Amino acid sequence: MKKTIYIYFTLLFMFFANLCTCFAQETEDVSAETARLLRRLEHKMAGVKTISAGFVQEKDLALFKNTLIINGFVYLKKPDLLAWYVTEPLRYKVVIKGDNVEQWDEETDKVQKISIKKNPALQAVFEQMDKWFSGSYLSMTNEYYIKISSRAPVSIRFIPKDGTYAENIISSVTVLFRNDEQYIQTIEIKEKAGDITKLTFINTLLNGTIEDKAWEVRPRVQ
Amino acid sequence: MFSELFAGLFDSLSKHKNPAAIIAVIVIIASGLGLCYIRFDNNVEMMLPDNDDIQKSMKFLRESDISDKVILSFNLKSSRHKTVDLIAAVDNFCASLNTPLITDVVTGIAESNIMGDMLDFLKYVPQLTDQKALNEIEEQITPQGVKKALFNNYRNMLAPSGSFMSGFISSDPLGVNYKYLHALSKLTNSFGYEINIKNSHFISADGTHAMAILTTPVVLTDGFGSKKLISYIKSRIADLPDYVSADIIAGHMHTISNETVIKKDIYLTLSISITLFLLLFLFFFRDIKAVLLFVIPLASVLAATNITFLFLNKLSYFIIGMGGVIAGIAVDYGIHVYMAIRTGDGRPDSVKKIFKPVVTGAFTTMGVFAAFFFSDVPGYRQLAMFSIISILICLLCALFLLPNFLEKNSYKPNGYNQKRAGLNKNKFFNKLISDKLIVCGWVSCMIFLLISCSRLDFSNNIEQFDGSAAEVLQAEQNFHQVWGGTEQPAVFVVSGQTIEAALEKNEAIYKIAVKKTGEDNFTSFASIWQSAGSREANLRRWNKFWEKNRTLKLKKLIAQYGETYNFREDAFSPFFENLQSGMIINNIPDKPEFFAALTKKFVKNKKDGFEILSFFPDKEKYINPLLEISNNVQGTFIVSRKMFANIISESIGSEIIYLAIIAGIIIPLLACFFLRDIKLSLISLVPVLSSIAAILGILPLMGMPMNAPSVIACMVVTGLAIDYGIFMVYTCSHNLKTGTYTAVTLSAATTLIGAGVLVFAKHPMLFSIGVTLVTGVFAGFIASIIVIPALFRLRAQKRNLFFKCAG
Repeated sequence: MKKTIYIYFTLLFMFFANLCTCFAQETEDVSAETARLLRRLEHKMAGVKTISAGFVQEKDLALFKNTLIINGFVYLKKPDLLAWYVTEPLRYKVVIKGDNVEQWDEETDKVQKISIKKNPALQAVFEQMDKWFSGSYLSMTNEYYIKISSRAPVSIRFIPKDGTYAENIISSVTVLFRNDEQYIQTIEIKEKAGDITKLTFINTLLNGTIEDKAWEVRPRVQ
Repeated sequence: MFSELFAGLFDSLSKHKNPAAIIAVIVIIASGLGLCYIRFDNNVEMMLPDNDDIQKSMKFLRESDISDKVILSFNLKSSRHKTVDLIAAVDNFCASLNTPLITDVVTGIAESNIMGDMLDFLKYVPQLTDQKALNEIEEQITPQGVKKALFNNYRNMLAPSGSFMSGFISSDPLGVNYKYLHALSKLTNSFGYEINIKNSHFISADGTHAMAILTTPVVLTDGFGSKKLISYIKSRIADLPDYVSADIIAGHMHTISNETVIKKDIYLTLSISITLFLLLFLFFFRDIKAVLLFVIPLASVLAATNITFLFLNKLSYFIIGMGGVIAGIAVDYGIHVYMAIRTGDGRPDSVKKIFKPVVTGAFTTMGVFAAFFFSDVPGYRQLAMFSIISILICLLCALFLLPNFLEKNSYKPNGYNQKRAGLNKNKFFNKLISDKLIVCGWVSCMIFLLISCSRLDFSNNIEQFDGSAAEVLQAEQNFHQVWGGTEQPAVFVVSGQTIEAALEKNEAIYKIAVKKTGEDNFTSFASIWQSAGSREANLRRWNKFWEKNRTLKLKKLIAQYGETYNFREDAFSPFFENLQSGMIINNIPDKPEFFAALTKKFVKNKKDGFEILSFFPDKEKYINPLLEISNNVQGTFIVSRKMFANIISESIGSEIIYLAIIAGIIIPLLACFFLRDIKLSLISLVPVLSSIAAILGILPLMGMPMNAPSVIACMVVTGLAIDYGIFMVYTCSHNLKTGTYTAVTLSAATTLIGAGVLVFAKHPMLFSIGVTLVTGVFAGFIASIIVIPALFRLRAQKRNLFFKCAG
């Protein structure tokens, strides 16, 4: 179990560390319209303090015969709470509370704990996750060409720039927003190797109350 | 015989006093000019014993990565600005650095092909996998093992970023690589600092501090170069925006600060002592020629500085800091000569009466310093030469030059008379005090002090030699509060003439060490890279292991159990296709880049071979077993702050005993040689015993520990106290009327001035010496003028003799 969580977070780092690595320049190589749009989206998403949503994740990966469909729930409470709860095909949960990460799955029924305080790699990973989910896209302009695919609803396409690490793995990332632009509808990642991952949020509740049990890594027996 | 020889020389020189004076003036001027060419050294190693372990540790630290680094800790002062603003300020600062004094700047982890680098590194796994690891893999190639591995892989794919793990999972279905990734992580986190990475920059946990590491060719002990370097960096720091400040953390700061503190202390102590000397002599003697009494020792110190430098080619600042003390000791001879001439009606040849005790005193003092020649501490040996030359010059000037310039006609009787000169016991007390009471009182004090000295502590803290200013130390404290690293690990160093030899030894040490300390407490390069020989053996084993049968078995199991998780039949082809690949690299690869950076930290290329470092917690429970290993394996040693302190403590402890024995033999021998009487020699030791007991007894009462500098001071006090004892004994036994009481009092006063000013010194070493000297000299003085005459009177009573030690 420990092996697995270790590999998972290390590799997460390797990916996310290269996805969003530069804050310094905000509007490099984006048109004025795109920059305005990104600012508008960031502003709207900045007002979101809590998120509760179901998700359907479709993974079309070379490893699997068929598309892997994952159902679950995601909870986010700013500044430092995130819970990713998979209900199908098996129950699995990871909860991030500040500097601590806990992981559980129904097969082993064991809880793994890691402190990310002394692990800068993990800390970087969760910061990146936070950016994708909280919409800090303006800061990604150094790594990606950002283009508006559609304006209503808003859809933005991120294409890795030459010479970046992401360019080795990813062809594009497309983010589709809800009609009210307050949050993400879907994120689709296309890899160079041909794998595609699509994450769709459903029944999204913004700024609602999240029950305490959402932050318990081991789900309560129903 | 000596007296006749002295008399002959004295008379001869008296006839040529003017040429002698001219020569003396020329020597003083030349010595003053010579100071400009003298190279001073503030290297702390001068004050450490020539012990193998200490020298190895100091050499290691000197040549380590720390010594050529300057760390800057940038602080975001305003809550209105964010981490991104801090990072921008750091980037601008680093871009502005343009000087040959800084050769490299690191502000974080470079953006590079980390995943590609990782995969490149993992290609070496077959040659890093030993038999034990193969056994673990064997246990996984079972239905249970494969099921578990596949489940883990499947679960990882369910995570938010599981997709990007496809490449890793398909090339490592069993999670074999985990062990090496874990070892890599451990190696990078082995230095105890808490650093986060944001935007490829080193950032503190709270996001308000950033770090930059500068590399400089300026050597740590180069005072001039350090000043230029730090001055340049400060000028760049001044251009930072208002909301950002920066602290400089570097050994160079200590170099500059120590030099500044010591120089200030030297100026301060010399200024105070010169002023007080002047006041003392002008107020007490009201004789302008009394100035000569303190010019002579100062000139002697000046000349001795140049002569010592000629012999040794460098001088420690610490030793020069003792110049004021030596001047205070050496002035005693001039004082005795002056008093003898004054009580002898101003006749220069009155000095012949006190020639013997003056020379005896000087030689016993020089004898004490001579004991330092036998010391293992280079700084002590320097002190021995410097002090002996100073005292010798001062002695010669006091005996041969001074009397000829203290002529009868210039003597002013006002403010001085014989009664005042005769500071006998009747002048101290209103009524006679029983000599027995005096002696009993002295014995009681000695017993009390000896009991008190049972609480004496010895400080072995290396920081006692560091006189850096409070700002430097505060900056370091702030740094550790932000970045951690207060508990620095100890280092196990393995050396070899070739890289292969070093790697082999390192592996062997690693295997033994982890059994003693546990794998988590011993971070070694051997966990991610071994010798070519071991890797060849590993690769042969790996290739044999994955021969047809086992490979087929694993394929079957994966096909069977992978169905449950919807894995494709060829999902793990990359793993099977690369099983038999792998090429042995003879040395250490310089790619991938992160691996090369790690190698730089753990593998050192020296002139005479290679050193490989391993790290472990600096605690006794780990040091002791690892020290045992190191002692049994040649070419290895441990560098540990804790151990270093213990070594210093032991070294200096045995040094004290050794020097004390030598001094304890030299002093009584010399006293016996000159006094020609064992009982008188024993009486002359009373001030010595009093001084030592006072130092050892009063320091714990003041809450001060004994330390290396106070050991030096204790030896110096011994040399002074014996002077007082010899003078009083000689005067009492020969019934001399040479103003001895006054001379001894003035001697003690001048020494207390010379030593007392050190109490105002900021440098901890000089301060410690000052306190010790003041305590010891005062005790020795009181014992000499009160207890010795009492002992004499009791001795005389016993012999039914009338005795009056008039002095």
